[in-house]
Amino acid sequence: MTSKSETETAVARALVIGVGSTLRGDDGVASAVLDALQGQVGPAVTLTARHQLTPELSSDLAETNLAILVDADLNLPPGVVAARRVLPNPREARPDWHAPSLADCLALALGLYSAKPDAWQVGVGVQDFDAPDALSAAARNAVPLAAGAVLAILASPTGPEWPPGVTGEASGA
Amino acid sequence: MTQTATRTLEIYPVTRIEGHGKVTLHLNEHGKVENATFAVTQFRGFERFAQGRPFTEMPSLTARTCGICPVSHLIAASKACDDIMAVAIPDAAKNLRRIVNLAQLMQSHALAFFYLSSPDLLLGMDSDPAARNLFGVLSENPNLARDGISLRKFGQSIIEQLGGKRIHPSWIVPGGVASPMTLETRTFILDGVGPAKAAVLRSLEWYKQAVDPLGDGPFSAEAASFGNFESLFMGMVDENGNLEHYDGLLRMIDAHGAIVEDGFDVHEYGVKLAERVEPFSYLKSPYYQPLGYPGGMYRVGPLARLNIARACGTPMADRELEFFRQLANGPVLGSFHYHHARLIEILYALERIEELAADPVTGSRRVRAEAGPNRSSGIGAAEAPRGTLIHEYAVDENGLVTSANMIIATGHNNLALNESVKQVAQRFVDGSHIQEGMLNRVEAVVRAYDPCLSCSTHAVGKMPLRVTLLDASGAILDEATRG
Repeated sequence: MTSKSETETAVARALVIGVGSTLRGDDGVASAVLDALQGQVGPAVTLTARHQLTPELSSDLAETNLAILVDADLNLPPGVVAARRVLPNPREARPDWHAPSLADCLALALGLYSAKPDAWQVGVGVQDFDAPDALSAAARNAVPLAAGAVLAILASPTGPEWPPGVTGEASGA
Repeated sequence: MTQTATRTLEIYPVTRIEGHGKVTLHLNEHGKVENATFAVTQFRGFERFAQGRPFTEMPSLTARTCGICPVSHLIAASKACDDIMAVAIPDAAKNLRRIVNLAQLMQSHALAFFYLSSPDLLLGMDSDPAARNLFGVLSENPNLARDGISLRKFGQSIIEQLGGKRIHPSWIVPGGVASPMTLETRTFILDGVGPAKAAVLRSLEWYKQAVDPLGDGPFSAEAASFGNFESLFMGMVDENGNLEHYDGLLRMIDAHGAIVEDGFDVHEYGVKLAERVEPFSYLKSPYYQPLGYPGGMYRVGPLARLNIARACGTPMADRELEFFRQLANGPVLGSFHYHHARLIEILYALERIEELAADPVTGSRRVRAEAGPNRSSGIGAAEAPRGTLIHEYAVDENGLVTSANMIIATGHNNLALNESVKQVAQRFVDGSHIQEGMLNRVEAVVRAYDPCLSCSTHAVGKMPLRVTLLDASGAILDEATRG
């Protein structure tokens, strides 16, 4: 049953993947985002935490309509949240299969299971991987923004209305 | 190029993330390989920083040794803690530990075989390295890729269902396990075993046809020179001499199949085995003490386990073992056949997991014995995917660790790894120039052992290799970089 606080999900099945280690400071920001999403999403949405992406993710992607990856991003200014669409990598790509990207896993899902779910990546700008189990203030403040970005995508995967503070790719499915 | 001086050829790093290794080939004046060393150049120091910690922390602490096989360390560490506590853990806990250990073995073997080695086997050792990855497998044989993914996922999912998470679950604890198996988990396991067995049987059929290990197949040169030499083999067996991964006694056989040691308790490991430290590597080199160093070289892991066991003890795996035993008149000596052995062990693991999950004892809610430190030391061992894993701790009167020793499977295989690299290099390396096929075969023989320092060997087709050919004065004669 969907509670009143749960955001409507526009797809039959969605998978939200939080990547990172909670023992490495801001690398654990995605886990904090998943915690923030608990109770705000309906039963169509699976929340899963991973230390890293692995090829097995491709079979999970094959069983979903929408995948959203949340990850710490050192290329963004600390505290900034940015969302972008992700497409399968071309076969000519030479992925590092020890640490594949979402695009690599999407390519496997397409090649092995003929599945092509919509996919987004929500990056959270971070700065400190040294603190053992605590987020920096910037990462902590970004958690509700990132959760808001995920909820916006769940509500409208092809044209999310980004909440204030989130930089998001324009629609264009 | 002057051919009057001996030269050294270095492959460094042969790894990327979790461990760094280096292969050094010593060439004579004719450019032929005279000797080879496989060295681990990264120091980690788990045995030192465990000192002063409560012994009950050792499972979760030592599990951080590895992100691929943390369950193996959890098992060996918890068994050492059981020993310190002087408890016999409940039968249900024992069964549950067995299940999770076999699930770990399954996912690790699937990673090694399907993700890392199958590109070589499917596409060939000399194929374009750009294609030697999962995309290459996908293009050539998508069913094999799907089966590999499903097997690894099933193993990981069992660990996650039982332990709460895939990596570093804190469910295996001193005295047993933290919580009983739920009915949902039991159903999940039993429902998943059938499709998983079908997947590994398809893979075995593919392997026997494509690799053709009994005939003059496409890898006959590799099979003949990938660590194909006489050595001892060691592993656990159960009370019937069958394959065992959790709680057996150790057996050692020689290259002709004669039993050298049988039924030795892991508490005797300090008498039977010794460790040598070589100045070029942080990885220790254990050897069988009565035969000295390096004559006491032995191998562990799936190949060794199938060689020492009387039988697997499960029907499907035993049928496959029958085929496997046709590879040699006695123990199978070639390390190339570790690949085949891994597939058979996956099948065995699935059969045993099914038996254990269906056993009513496993569903008991009594899963943990409680006690404080009742002994001043403890030793625990189990068969990890790569071989026998031994943990030994000594504690003070408060249960704080005063010393720790961990012998990991890759260490047991260290001498054999060195010998294997040398054999491959002597067969394939032409010292006057460096070729891609040579680089890949050196990688591939290391990969056959699936060493646990091996994020490198996990990066199939893209391993960052730098090979430098130096003359005696250190001048660079030739250099190749990849990755």
